[in-house]
Amino acid sequence: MTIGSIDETAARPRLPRLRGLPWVTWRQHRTALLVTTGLFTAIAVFLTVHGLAMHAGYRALGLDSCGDLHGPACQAPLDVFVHRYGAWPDRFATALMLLPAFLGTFVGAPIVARERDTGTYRFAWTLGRTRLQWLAAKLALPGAALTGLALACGLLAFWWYAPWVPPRGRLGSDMYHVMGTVFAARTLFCFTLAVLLGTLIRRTVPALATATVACLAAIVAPATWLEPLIQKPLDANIDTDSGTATGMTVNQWVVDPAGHRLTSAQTDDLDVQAGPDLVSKHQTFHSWLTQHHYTSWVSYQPDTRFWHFQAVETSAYLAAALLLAATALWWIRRPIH
Amino acid sequence: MNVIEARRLSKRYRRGVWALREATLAIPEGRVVALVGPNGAGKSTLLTMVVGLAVPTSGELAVLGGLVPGSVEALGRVAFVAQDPSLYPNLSVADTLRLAGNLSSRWDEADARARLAALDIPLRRKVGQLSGGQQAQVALAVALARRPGLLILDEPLASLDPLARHEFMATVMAAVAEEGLSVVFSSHVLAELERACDYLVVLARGAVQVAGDVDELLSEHSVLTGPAEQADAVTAGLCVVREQRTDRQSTVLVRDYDPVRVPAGWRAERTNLEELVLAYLRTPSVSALPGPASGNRTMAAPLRAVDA
Repeated sequence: MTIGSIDETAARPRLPRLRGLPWVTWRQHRTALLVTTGLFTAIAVFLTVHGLAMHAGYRALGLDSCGDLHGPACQAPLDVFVHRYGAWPDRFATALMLLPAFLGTFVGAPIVARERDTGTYRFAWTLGRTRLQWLAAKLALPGAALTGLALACGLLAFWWYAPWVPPRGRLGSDMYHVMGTVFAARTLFCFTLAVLLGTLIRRTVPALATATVACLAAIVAPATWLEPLIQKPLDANIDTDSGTATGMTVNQWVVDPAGHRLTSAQTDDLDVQAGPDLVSKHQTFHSWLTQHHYTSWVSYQPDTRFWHFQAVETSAYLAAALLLAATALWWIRRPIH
Repeated sequence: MNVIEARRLSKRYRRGVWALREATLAIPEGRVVALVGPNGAGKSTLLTMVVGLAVPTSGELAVLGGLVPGSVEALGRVAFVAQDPSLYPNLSVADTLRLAGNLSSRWDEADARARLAALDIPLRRKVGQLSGGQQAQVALAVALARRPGLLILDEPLASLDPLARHEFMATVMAAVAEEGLSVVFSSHVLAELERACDYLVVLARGAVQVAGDVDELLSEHSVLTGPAEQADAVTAGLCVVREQRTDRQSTVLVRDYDPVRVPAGWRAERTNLEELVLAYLRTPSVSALPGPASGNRTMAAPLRAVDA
């Protein structure tokens, strides 16, 4: 069997020319795919160049060898590193977090909508392939290309972020949305959602607009409300639990010396009460609380849960993408008129 | 084999409008069929169902001897040129051919290129930059290169100038002569199909009003002309399609008339296709359809229509 399959491979030309539906898909969507590839290449070059400099800066400041990052030996170089590069994770996260929505819409929404809008479906769908075969190819190939590019970008961002893991952790950062596999899964999800909306709406511009809004909502809403629910958060004292520095904080509160949890209004009152001391002694509220035997608590997701969160979210978006693709395939078989 | 076979075929749109209602039709192989009727008669609806873009609300429809429209088998053997050619305007002619070739089960690229070369249509030009007539020719070249058994042309001449119409029809008729394929044209202008077609289907208000071989239809119909006062007596018992009376003279289109029995003072003449179609279209209550099994023609509603 092994020998047979080797012979088969050898019989094929090395770089087979695209034929059939793959060629048609490439020819009709190459502009969108080239623009997407160009954009991802630019992002990759920037992440690589900037990342190499940032990683080098981290080592040059001795942050990889100064021991406990929160200890006194690391404090000064860490301040310099944060001053120099500290704004970049948020900048990147802001710039890239919503990219899946725009790219998925840009590539996906016109696929069926434009054919219906301009009437070319009468040509495309009366040649020798059924609508089902046609749409399956147009989902599979651009979908795979987008997902592959986004996955490469997400893994590169994962590498880029490495110096920030010791001081900040991955889970609590906004870069969480751009790192790892979630970024690619969201891109595929947005692409299939846009294809389905284009199939239903049948007009290019309304399909683009609706898909953009729907994709943005499908990224922002789960990130805001569902993500913290993936696993039950842990409660911890900020001062005694070292894990709290790098995790994702869900909630925080203050406990008074008698062991009662304060409401946020009570905490605000306390802040007002501490006001004069904070000004006169240049104290932080936190150290004032410690001095007065209050304790600060957080409910948080430890950073060790990063891959668990990524896996849960990735599977949810992939499952939804499959469902959307199946719906689009089912819908396109319906009669047109 | 029937290239199109429809049995009690109905199509209702979402708004509740019936585009076709219980249409029954059988078009034999190897014919050039003119599908005529006023706007809104259901011509485009019938053809979009034949090519598989739309699905019947009820009834049965089969193409090329029993294939389901829209199935891979049917798509592979039915070629369609839509009303406005619907090609991709931003593709070059060469890429349009390549796209169609990549989506077709049978494809004769050399044939398409030869046709376009004969018409001086440049392969590198974008389709959107071609004239309407050239675009129609590209769509036709694509359709013919697919080596179809059935070619469907939905109002192909509607947007073409007279020269382009002539060239388009010449291409179609040459292909019919060479390859013996079956062709169905739709049009609301009969004059442009009269010379080309040998089979006629008239649709009116969603139903088939006339269907048959053109020569047979013409030989079965006669125009009787005579004094108006005798008209009632003469036409009694005849299949009258349409009667036109002036004060003195009556002109009656009748069907299945025995020319030996022309009464004195009356004249029987053959009709032409355009007059025949117009007479039926002006009298929607009368139809001329092939009979069920015996092959005899039946007059569905042998009522006289008087139009003073």
